Amino acid sequence: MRRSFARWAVGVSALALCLILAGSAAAQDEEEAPKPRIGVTLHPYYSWVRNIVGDKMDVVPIIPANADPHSYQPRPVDLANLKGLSAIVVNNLGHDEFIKPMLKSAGQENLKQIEPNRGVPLIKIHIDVPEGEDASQVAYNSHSYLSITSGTQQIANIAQDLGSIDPDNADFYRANARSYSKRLRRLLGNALAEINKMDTSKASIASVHDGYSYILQELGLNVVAVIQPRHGIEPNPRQLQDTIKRIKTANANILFTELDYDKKYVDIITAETGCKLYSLSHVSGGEYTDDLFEAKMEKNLNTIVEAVRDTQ
Amino acid sequence: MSRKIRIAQAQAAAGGPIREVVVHPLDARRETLGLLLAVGVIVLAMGLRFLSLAANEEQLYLRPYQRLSDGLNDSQRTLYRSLLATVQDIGALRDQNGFFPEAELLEYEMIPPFAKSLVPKDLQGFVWETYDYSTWVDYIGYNPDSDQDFSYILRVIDLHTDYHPSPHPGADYDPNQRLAAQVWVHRDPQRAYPGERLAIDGWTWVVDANDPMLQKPPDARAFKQTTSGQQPVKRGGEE
Repeated sequence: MRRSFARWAVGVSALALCLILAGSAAAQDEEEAPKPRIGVTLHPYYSWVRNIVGDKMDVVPIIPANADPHSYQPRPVDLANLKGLSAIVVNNLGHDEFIKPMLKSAGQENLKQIEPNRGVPLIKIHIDVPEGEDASQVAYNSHSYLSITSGTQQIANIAQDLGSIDPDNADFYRANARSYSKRLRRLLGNALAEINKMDTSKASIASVHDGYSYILQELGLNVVAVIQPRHGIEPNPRQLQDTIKRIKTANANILFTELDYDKKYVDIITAETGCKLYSLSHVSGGEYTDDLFEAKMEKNLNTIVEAVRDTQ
Repeated sequence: MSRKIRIAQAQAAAGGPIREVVVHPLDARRETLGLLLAVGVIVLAMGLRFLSLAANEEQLYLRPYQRLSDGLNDSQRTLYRSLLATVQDIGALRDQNGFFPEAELLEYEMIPPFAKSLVPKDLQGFVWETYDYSTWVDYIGYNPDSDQDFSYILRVIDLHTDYHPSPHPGADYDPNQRLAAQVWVHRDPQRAYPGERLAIDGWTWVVDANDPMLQKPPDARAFKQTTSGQQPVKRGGEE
């Protein structure tokens, strides 16, 4: 009796030991399995990817938090961010040109690139130049991320590509993308609930940044004049004079500016035209956080609502 | 001092007549030709580069039934963009329910443009009907209160099936992409649903210059021009 009990006890102990060892080995494997690393070139992409992948992947911003992607110059120290990436999310429409030489320098030219703008309708830019200058230049607006509708399409594209990198979690990524898109659409719905009650024909909008066209279009608002058609180009006196003339002709009463835009040009225009000035975020700076895009877009939408309301 | 006086002085100094030798400056003809040649080569290279860039910009292959979205106005473009952004949700709801969602469900799920509260005022009058072919679905939308708007069809196709409705390219470009979306428009604001063949009924497929398919010559894409003979199931809406 005693012997059989001892045998039984030894058997149970051995089994328990095996289970514990197997469990701890599995847990160790789980802990040690490196997560895929996904690089991002722009701030909105950081928020998007973080909201899609949760803790299943590491999201690596390539440029420092406060660097402006338009003026950013690659630094050797930032090349380290490209190490060990499984893929990188890129704009590829001219907004993150810095990434090409960086990938080349790091020998990562073959790194998988996720292009959120795949299949996303873009706004054509007719660069509005003063009379007598070459007006034939045409380009596509690269700020498609400054929009809830285009944003949700891009988020779906990213989720799909991440699912192909990590098929085991593809459903998880898709579900997260949908849930995140729902939250973003709620922001759009809140803004439209206000704007649709107003007479938007009273709002005649000028902007210092053509990137806001996407968000304004989805709110049913038109931009009558863009003061600075491209980043980093300060209007010369002739262009400024032309812009003032166009704003006066269009009778614009709202002027959307960038938060970090040099006010001297805006002030001149405001003084000359009487447009009321409102600042919108370009979502291209600040600490990388999961809710950066959501927070900044909500603020942008609220600012636009306020601007239209002021014209009623 | 004149030239003759200088010669006379030189003859006197030399003690006899001297021969006048004219020394020309170094010949620059060769250098001039070289310079002109170099300028010509630079101008030629610039011209070729300009032509190649211009050619790249224009290298879009449009079918007769396709039109670029650039020609849409802001309101039409907003609707076009909203329709294309619905694919993820349509796919998820299809996976969940086993069939394509009807327009009413998309509205309930707060997906624009089916959800009227998520589109600008001028797009809220659209009425949407669903035609489900099981391997693809058509959502036709028209605005009964306006004679200015287009009629729209959003066609969502399951690429992982054998048959793709005409004129969708038979080849899939991305094996991970299961659903493809097309937006078709008709100038008649209240056009009746035409069935599978949209192009022969005067509908045009709106495409974006950003679409990589437009950068491939037509012969690189195997278009299926047959019809499936499938009959749609009209789902939801007022029947």
